[in-house]
Amino acid sequence: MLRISLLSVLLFSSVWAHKINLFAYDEAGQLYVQSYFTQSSPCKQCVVKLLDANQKELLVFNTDDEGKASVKLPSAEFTIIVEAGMGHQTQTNYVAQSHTKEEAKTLPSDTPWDKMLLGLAIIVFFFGALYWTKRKPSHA
Amino acid sequence: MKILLTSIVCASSLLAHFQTVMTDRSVIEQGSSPKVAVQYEFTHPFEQNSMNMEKPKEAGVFTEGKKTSLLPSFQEVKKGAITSWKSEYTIKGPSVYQFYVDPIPYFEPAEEKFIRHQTKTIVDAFGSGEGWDKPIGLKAEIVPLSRPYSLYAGNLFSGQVLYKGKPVANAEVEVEFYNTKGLKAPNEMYVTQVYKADKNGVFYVALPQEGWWGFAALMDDDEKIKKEGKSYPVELGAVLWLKTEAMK
Repeated sequence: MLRISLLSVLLFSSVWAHKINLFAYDEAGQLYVQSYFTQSSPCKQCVVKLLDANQKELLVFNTDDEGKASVKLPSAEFTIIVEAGMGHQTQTNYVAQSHTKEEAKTLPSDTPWDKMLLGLAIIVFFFGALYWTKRKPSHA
Repeated sequence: MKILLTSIVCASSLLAHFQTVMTDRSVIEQGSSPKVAVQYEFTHPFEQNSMNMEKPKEAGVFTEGKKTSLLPSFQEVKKGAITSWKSEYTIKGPSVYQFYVDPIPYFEPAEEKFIRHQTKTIVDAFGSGEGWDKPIGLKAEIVPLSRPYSLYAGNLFSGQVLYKGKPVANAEVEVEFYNTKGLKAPNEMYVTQVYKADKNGVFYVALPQEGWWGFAALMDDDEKIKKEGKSYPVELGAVLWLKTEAMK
């Protein structure tokens, strides 16, 4: 009886502790997800779903044994859901910080103004130097 | 004239000095800015009379067992002739962050002693949930026994007073509300409340208002400070600040 009571208490207390937390950030087009109950208790092998605005699944993957996972950003804005079974889950609407910047970097229509200006400066310097060296003997 | 002077001295001695450390948020959630604004003040919290604070000798954040100095990000804040300080810190990930300050000891001529309040406040980032009850190694420190960043107005708070890492039996703890609401105390005795800790340095305080509360356990330090050739005692304070929220 005592054993049953003790087990009930333990089960009950573990239910109370089952609040899932989620920490996500992105860097250079990569999304990093970390999920845990408390900092030292990771959400191991938990299912992570990324959904678009229409609730369509963009990506589904699992966390590792440290509660961490990393994937390429599927879009600039989406919902992250982490499921830990037993109906425990957490979710957040995520707005990527590096997605649009990464896109901008790889857009072929981008004009590399900085490189063009540098090239122009080199050409002006080259022809300027050529003009100066050619002009010098005529004054001598 | 003598009676008037005595009255003034008595009245002012009832106002407790508090070093403060306060953050713009005590809980950082996913989706919110990871930048935490920190403000440092030397004040009478209930009366809202601030005093000049020198740039501290040490101030930082303690997380994952390590201290990081915030002094490089310190900026002076001037309100009339009064100086206080502010800094900023960007949260790196899920953890508990304890923001602390060890100020330059302040000389109180009326009491002929130096006041040094080692002060901290505690922030949780992304539901870390662990580490709020850990001392950070200050010489004088209050360690919370109630999670300090999720208390409602009206909750009971408990903490333990430590000096050099050991509990201080029967420590006296002064408690003040950071009174930005213009509340009036019924009389001077209500400005600073006083509690006694038990033999293990543990004290309990109910917090009837929503807002910032300061707890200062005051003790005589074993060091003295020399000023103009004379040695003065140091009142060492273990100070903790926390914010209660209204239940709506």
